[in-house]
Amino acid sequence: MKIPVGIPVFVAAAGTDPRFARLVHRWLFSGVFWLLLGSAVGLIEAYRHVDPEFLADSALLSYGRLRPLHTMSMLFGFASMTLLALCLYVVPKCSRITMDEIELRSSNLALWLWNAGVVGGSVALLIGQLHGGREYREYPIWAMGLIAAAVLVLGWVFYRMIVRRQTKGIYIACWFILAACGWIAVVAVMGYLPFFKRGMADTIVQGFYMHNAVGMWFTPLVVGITYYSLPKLLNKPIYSYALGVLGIFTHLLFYTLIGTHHYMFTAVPDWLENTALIFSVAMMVPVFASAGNFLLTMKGEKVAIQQSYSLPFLLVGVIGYILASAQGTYQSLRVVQDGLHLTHDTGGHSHVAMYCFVSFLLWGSIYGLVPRITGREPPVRLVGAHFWLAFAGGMIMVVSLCLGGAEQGAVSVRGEPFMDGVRVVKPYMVWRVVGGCLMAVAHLISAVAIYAMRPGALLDIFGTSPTSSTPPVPEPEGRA
Amino acid sequence: MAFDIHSSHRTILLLPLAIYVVLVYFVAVAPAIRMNRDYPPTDPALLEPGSAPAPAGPGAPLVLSERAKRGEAVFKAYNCVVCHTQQIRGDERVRVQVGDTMQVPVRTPDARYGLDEPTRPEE
Repeated sequence: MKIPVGIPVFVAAAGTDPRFARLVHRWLFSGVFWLLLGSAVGLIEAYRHVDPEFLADSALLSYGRLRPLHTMSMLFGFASMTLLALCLYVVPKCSRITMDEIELRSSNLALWLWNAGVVGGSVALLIGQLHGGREYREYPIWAMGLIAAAVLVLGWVFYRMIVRRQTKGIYIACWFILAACGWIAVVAVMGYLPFFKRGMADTIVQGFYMHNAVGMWFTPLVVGITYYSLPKLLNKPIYSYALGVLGIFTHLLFYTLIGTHHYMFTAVPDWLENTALIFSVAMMVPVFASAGNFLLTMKGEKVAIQQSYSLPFLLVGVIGYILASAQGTYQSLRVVQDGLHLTHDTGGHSHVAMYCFVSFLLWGSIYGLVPRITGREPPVRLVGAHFWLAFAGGMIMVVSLCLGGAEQGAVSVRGEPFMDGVRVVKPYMVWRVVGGCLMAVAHLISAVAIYAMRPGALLDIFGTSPTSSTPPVPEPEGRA
Repeated sequence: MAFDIHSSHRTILLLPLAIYVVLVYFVAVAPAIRMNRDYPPTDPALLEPGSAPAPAGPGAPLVLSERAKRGEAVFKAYNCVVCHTQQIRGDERVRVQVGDTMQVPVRTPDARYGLDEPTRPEE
């Protein structure tokens, strides 16, 4: 059965358990809340680069505290929670089952554990109770403990659903999701274990931790979700299943080893730096395996992408994946890093990866998939406005940061005074605020659009619950 | 089939996790432990309490003066490390001319500033 573009998605959502739809939407909306907070904090920080005196008297809002608040809200608030919302959608769909009572309750518990962790962590950051000053592990250990507990609960829920599956094989999306839950647990333990971390040993662990927290969690989750959402939205099979398998195992083998490329030119052992460098180049294999797979799946679907409001996000996200990874590879080379490291170029790279890659794939999957269980589509004009503002804002921010960083790096390579680099980068900082404002407006619009997708009251009438005797209606194929 | 990864949920859970743990041991745990063993922090007994921090060398001084302790507390509470990194890079890099313009930063063994293997005294 095919649903043409424009037919209300309510038909697709009929038969969905309303509690399941509410669970997914609650995870989603928690993520959106943290996105808005993170955007506001990010804007304050960006503006400080133009006017350093802005709110400078407040200890609460000092730069060193707001910076981790921005990154942690975005990473562990927004990106993680919305990704997990989609995982809660993708795993049961791939397994052709509905979530049962225990799984719904456990996921709900995980939701509140997670939110408690991010709330507690954010307050702790603001009052200066940091877990050391190491990037991406600034939350105190108890806050991260709550989040880790939620990951374990969710990992168990995903595993339980995959065990109960009604299919023989396990779809590649579930491989990525299941693997990511195990990997992030190892990463969190490594980051927070207090042993063997003095002096340079801490730098080695930090290089591993901050790199793997991003690439062994966000990348596999978002790539896994895209392996489900892209073929679903295009209503055709993925170009190559084998490329997906190649992608996950080469990602595992190569990505794990490259954390130390953040600490070139330090006293970290050379063999570790060189290993990181070599496998940073090798990262092109998993990236092109997955991104190429997605692009080849999109090949010949120009009309579908033009008509859809979710597919353009996916297209931008896939291209963002290639760009972010290519940038990561060349930045890891010593000759490039000599100039570009410790400049704004690093911030540019983070935004290419987390915004142009992860967030765009996320939004495409959210707008494409979630209406199929909540029965409500977002207003198309709002989604369009979200896309163009986020795209323009993201591009302005990324280009200004990367160009500014390059100019700053040129100053340091020429051996000129540090302050010259600060002066030369000033106009780019203004552009960064402009881009950041566009992005913040896009996020406000997306909050309205995602709120509009909340599960409708009709779902209570036409939905089913796992306990009722009504057989579940098979999910129709179609394009959103 | 005895081993079919595509339909064994146990394999899909455990295989990537096991490979990951092994890789993590070699790339993070083992080097960190080795660093701790080969370059232990300076023995506190060698430093007089309240003295100025020892000059940069293997191991960090563990004894700080009261003033330094207060400074450390401020440094931590305001998370100054965001801009003022503790993971320092050398300020002088040896450059090698390639062609006319390209300068490749390299480190030769005697230009090292860190605690790397070839600079160890017994070698």
